[in-house]
Amino acid sequence: MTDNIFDKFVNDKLKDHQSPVPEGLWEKIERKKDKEPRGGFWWFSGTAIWAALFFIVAGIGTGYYLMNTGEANDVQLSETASAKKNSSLATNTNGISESGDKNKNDGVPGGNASQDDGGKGHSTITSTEDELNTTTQSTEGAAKAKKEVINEGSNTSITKKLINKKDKRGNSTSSTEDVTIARNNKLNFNKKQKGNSGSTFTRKDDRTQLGISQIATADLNNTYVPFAKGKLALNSKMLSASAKDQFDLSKLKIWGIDCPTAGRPRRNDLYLEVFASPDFAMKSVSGTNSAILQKKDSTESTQLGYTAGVRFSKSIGDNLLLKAGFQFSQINERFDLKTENERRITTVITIRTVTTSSGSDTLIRDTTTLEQIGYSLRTTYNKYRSFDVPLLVSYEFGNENLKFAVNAGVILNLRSWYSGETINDSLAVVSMNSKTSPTFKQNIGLGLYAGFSVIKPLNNHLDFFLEPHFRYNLGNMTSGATYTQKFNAAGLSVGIRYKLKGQRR
Amino acid sequence: MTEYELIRGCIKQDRTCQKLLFEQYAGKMMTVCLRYANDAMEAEDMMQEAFIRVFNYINQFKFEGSFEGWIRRIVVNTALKLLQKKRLSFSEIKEDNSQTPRLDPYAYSSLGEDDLMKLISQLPDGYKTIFNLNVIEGYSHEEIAKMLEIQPSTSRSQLVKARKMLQNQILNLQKIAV
Repeated sequence: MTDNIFDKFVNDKLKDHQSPVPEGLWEKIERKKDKEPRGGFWWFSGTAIWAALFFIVAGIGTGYYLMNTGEANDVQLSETASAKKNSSLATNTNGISESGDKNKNDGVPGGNASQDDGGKGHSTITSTEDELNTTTQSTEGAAKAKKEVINEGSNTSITKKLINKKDKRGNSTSSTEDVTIARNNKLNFNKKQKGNSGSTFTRKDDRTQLGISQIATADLNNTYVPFAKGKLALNSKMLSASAKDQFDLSKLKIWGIDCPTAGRPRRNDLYLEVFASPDFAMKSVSGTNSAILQKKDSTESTQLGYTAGVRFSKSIGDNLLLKAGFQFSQINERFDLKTENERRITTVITIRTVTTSSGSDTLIRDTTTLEQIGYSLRTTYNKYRSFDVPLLVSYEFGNENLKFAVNAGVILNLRSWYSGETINDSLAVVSMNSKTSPTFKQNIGLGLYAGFSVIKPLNNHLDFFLEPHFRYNLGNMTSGATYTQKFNAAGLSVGIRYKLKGQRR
Repeated sequence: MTEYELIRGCIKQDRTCQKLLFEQYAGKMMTVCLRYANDAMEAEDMMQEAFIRVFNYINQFKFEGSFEGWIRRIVVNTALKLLQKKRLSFSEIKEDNSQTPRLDPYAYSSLGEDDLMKLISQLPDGYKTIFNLNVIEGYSHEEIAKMLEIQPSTSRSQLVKARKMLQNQILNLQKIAV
């Protein structure tokens, strides 16, 4: 025998052979199939994925933009300088003027002042944060200077470090200052003196960097000139020979520069939010079969639902937070079906006792039927439940008494399940879980979320918040039916958030 | 219901259509699973996995070629996947080198399908898999080599040995019958 003949024999015998299928195998497959929803929540359509990505990127971008523009306006600097000057001190300012042009950012402030210090100078400059304290003694002159940069704005705190100066000759000194203020941005503060001696002060913060140079041919006492948006605010009056000269920069605003780090560290908060919300669901049903749509419209009415959940909220900047957690939602619906011309037949059995002529009693049963015509009203409360993961970006602003936040992001559905009754394509009332009902998906995919929070701090760790929100589901919850159905929901979340980590207020 | 309607219904996740499809192909596919599996329980597991994959991926069926062939490929691939989880080995079986006596067609012509199934199921895993893939499913040795990540020569040698072992078993059956 050749192998081919043998192979062909086996092939012919077994190719189409059918074996008995174990009982209950289909039910097992069906159960397992239901447990493994098709694709899970990653199985989104391409459109939904792009929409989600766009939403997230837009949210982050908007937050970043707002953070950089909003905070800049909060920057206020005040500098107080006190200096003792010798009577021989002459102050001169050239080319320094104050301008209301706050939009001009490229104007590096320049100051030109000369000082003729004829005596021995003794200069003491004290930082408000004691980060640097420098005492400079000149061999010929003495001068004291105290410079402070005080944070007047809520988000700004800058402390100038000092300036060491030695002027052995006692001559006029020209100096060059490079001033950089650190905020979210990195800032260098350099002062270079042209003369016999010089000192350089550098202050750095770990953030972005911004450098502004200032050239002043003046003594430290009256040439400490900060930069500003627009032009430098240095008035010769400020540099008068009074005991205290003050540079009031409180009105100056520096675009793009926020200096919180000198006074407080960068926000690095982690919150746990617990919330609950009544939800007003809006049902959307569409399809080609108008009879079904009409029937659904007349029988089903949405009722108040609710959402409850927990979220972790992590700051990624002074104003921006990322939120993620879990939430459970339930949408309630009332299903009322009124059926006309219902007939109810009642059987009535009447039992009588009849005494016969012989004196014995006989029981007689009369059976009659009673037919009633009316209508029946069937009421069922449907429940559409879902378990979701919210992924949100939040931009927070306000003051310590009241804060506000704009939230946006996506809601990923992990699992949806339903109970109650509905009508199928044949207009028959069926259970939502029955095989003849329209197929309700176990995963409805992706939703978009937008909300606005009002946050009231209660104490150092606890905040109370209200958050009106809207959830828009991108996908339908039905498949395989002649109609599609989905819910969108608006609600008002009420919750508290607890600061797990971060600086105390 | 035509096959097209049945498939369309399954794409729409219609449970009635899914059940009809299962009932239509379950018998044949059960045979496939039994040929690869070591026992009925393992075959049942293969069936479950395979049909879940069929329903999950049925929307990828292009209506080109035989639908039964498409399902069969899924079933076979699922069976192989489960077998490979068990580390399907292609070890050489020590056998006597004596030549297998010539087996006349009449010797096996009376064999029924169930007998053949039993004989095949008694083959070692490696032999059985390659015999099934080549002789019954019709895959070439190159295709088998790719599927099982082995050399084509291994597939060929395993097939020869599988066939020889099967023929020996048939001869033994004959001896018992006589």
